[in-house]
Amino acid sequence: MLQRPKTRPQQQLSLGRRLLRDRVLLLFALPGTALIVAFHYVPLLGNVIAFKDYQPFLGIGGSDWSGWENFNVIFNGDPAFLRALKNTLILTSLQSIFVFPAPILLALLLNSLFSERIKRIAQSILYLPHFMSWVIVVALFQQMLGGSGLLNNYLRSHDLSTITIIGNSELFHVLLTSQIIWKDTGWATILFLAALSQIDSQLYEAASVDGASRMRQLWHVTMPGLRGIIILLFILRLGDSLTVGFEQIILQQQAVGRDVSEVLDTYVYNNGVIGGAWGVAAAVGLVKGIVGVVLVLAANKVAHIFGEQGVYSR
Amino acid sequence: MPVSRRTFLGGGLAAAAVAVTGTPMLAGCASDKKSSAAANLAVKLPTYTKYGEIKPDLPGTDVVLDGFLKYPANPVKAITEAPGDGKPITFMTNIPGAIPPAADKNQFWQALNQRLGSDLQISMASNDEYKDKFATRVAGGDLPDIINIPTDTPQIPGLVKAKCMDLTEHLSGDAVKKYPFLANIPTQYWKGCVFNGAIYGVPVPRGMSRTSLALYRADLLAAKGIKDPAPKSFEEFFDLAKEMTAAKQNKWAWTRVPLSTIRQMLGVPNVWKEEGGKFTSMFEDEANLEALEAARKMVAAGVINPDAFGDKATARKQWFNGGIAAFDYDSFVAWNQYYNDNTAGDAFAVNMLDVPGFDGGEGKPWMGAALNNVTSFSKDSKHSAETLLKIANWMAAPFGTEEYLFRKYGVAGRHYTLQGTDPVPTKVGVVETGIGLQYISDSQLALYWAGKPDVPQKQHAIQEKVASRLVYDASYGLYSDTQSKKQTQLTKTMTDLEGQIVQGRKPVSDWTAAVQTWKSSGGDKIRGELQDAFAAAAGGK
Repeated sequence: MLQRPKTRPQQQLSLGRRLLRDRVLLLFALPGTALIVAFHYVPLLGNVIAFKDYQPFLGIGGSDWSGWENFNVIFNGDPAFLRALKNTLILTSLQSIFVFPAPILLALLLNSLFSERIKRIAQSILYLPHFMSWVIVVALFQQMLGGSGLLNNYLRSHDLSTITIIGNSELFHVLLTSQIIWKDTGWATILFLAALSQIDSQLYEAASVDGASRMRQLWHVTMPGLRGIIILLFILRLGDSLTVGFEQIILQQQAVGRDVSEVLDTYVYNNGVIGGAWGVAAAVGLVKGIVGVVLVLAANKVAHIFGEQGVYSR
Repeated sequence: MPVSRRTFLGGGLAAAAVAVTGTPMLAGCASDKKSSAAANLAVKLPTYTKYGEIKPDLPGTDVVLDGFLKYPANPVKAITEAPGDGKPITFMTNIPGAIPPAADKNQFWQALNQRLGSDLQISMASNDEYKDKFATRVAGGDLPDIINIPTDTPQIPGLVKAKCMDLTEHLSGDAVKKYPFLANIPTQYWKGCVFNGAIYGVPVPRGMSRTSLALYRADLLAAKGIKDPAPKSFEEFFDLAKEMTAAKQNKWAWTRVPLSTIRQMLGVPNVWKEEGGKFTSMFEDEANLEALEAARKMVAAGVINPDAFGDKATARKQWFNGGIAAFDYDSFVAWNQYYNDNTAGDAFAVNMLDVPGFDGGEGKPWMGAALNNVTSFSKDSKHSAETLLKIANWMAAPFGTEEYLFRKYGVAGRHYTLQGTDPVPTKVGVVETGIGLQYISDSQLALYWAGKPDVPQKQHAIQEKVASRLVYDASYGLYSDTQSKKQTQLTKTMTDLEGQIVQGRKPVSDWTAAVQTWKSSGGDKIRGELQDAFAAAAGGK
């Protein structure tokens, strides 16, 4: 974003002049804007089906209006909806506590490696899982930890008792969280590593001259350097905090049952696309989106109060 | 176009929307439903005319399928003129196996287009993904000429009314005789194609071929010295499973929990049971508690593949084919498919267990679902109903005809090699012919396996054995609106619980409470609607 100087030149340029002046820039922005409008804003209008008894074969125009009826599952606390909400919130908290800080720790760890060579190799290996699709990741976990996977086969052949990890409803939330950490932590370190490289090495030198230990350096030099990016990412994360992983869950839903595995996204899919209750599914999806927006706005406000820039200023 | 009460109830905006799009509203109230049951009954179903040129080696009955030991020599070319109209025809379907090569790389497909006289453009999705694809295409208003509509699609009557051709005048009564191979599909299958008092599609008949029992790897059992197993009770059935389990060698008896088999041992209804006009769901039967307890025992004893609960059909088939499991619960169609996918070599042999009573005596096997799907034609299609019906007719040419030989086996030399008169598929043949033609329409399955006459013999024998004991789903052909809307979700909740109970994570006693919830959240309503539809049907007779 271009920052305008606060004091503007006395004579305001007319809109036409400004458009003419920025025409090249505007031209550059055009395709992106068109894409966002066509594929993000126009489809948003489809949310109107949350207020309709939508039947796909009748189309949006042909379906009956149903007022707030579809929202009844939310307001009246339909057990299936509440179950999905509960699981979503559990996973959201698990992910905020365990998944979010993981890349920060890993970045610090990588940053403390002296050998540039080893660091590069480690980074490449750590980035790799990010590029695997969930199908592959789930299959890998199955092959390793499944009932007839590597671990249990080993245990069986040594007459030890087996452990049910995959398909165990009690461990399902933990399993999901571990899979995310395994898959995406490495990739998520990139931004933090970039921020770390921005920290002036003279600060560390000055701190060590003053007798600061490694831990104190971490606390007083490194962390302040990372604070901006951590807060920015945390706010963005809050925006889709209710999005706790769709593909990953749907792939593993069967074995553990919906009591522990149904989240808002799978609820929308199972009821809408599969069950044909499109209106209800859209209503739940809409509320989920609104909650996300509110969370981002609130978190941004809090960031401003603490003097941080947040996602956007003003 | 009549304006229903809903239009007014829906308020001005909806009325305006209807006026703009010109879409008729769906009939949504109880009295309408009753009259629709009566209207469905009033439809004169297509007259069944058996196409009787070919004599089976193992004659069937109304229930048992015809069996053939050899493919008839000099198959008759039953249809002389190409059914197509020269313009491309689009079709959307699921594909049970691997997605085959596209038309430009698939000689079978090219030969097919030649024979049809129209390019058949097929849009495919795997079984698991078809529901998503179907729902999305309907919502996008982007429907092909020929549509494979799965029987558990929500709100089929509304869907076909808005989007599909009414075929009544072409098929009802004797009109169907114009399409001799569609007329060769027994009347009961057409019952499932009637909605809103009209025939909206062509059946893809299954029934007996979909009847599922315990399949077993006869070769693996023989290696353990077990020949022609015939357990007489659950205990013996369980013992057999224990004998075929060697967990240390990564071998388990079962690919999945045989809960359905156990239910059949206990005489649990097949989906819905009707008695004196009263309907009972399979879930309500008290015997479920015993069945779940027994299944739980099997899981605890470790005779079931520990990864079975993911319920991926592909994994299940791999285990059975790969000899990791010796038993699978599946149908006659799957039996054939196993031979198709066989990777174990010549020794590979499959057979089926009859189901005993739980404590001895005879069990009550379930008749397979009548239809795989209904095939409808889009209202917006540029082709005439006649052309599309001719295509469907071509696809229903029965075993013994030259059309059938081509449709199932392809071109001699490339897709199969002739051994005597038997077309033995080549690897290319298996891959290229799997383009889902059987879902446009199909003849009833004929029991036959090219080059292995013992397969139809075994299949025929077990069918004859169970035929008189088969239990039918009383709800077939009866429409319940609530069932159509909520069935998927309601059933899923119950199967979820089943899974947790048999894995020992929830007590068997939870089942009773779940049945109560099932009843109150839709089960009782479905029952009521089915009973009404049944009464309307009975009254109309």
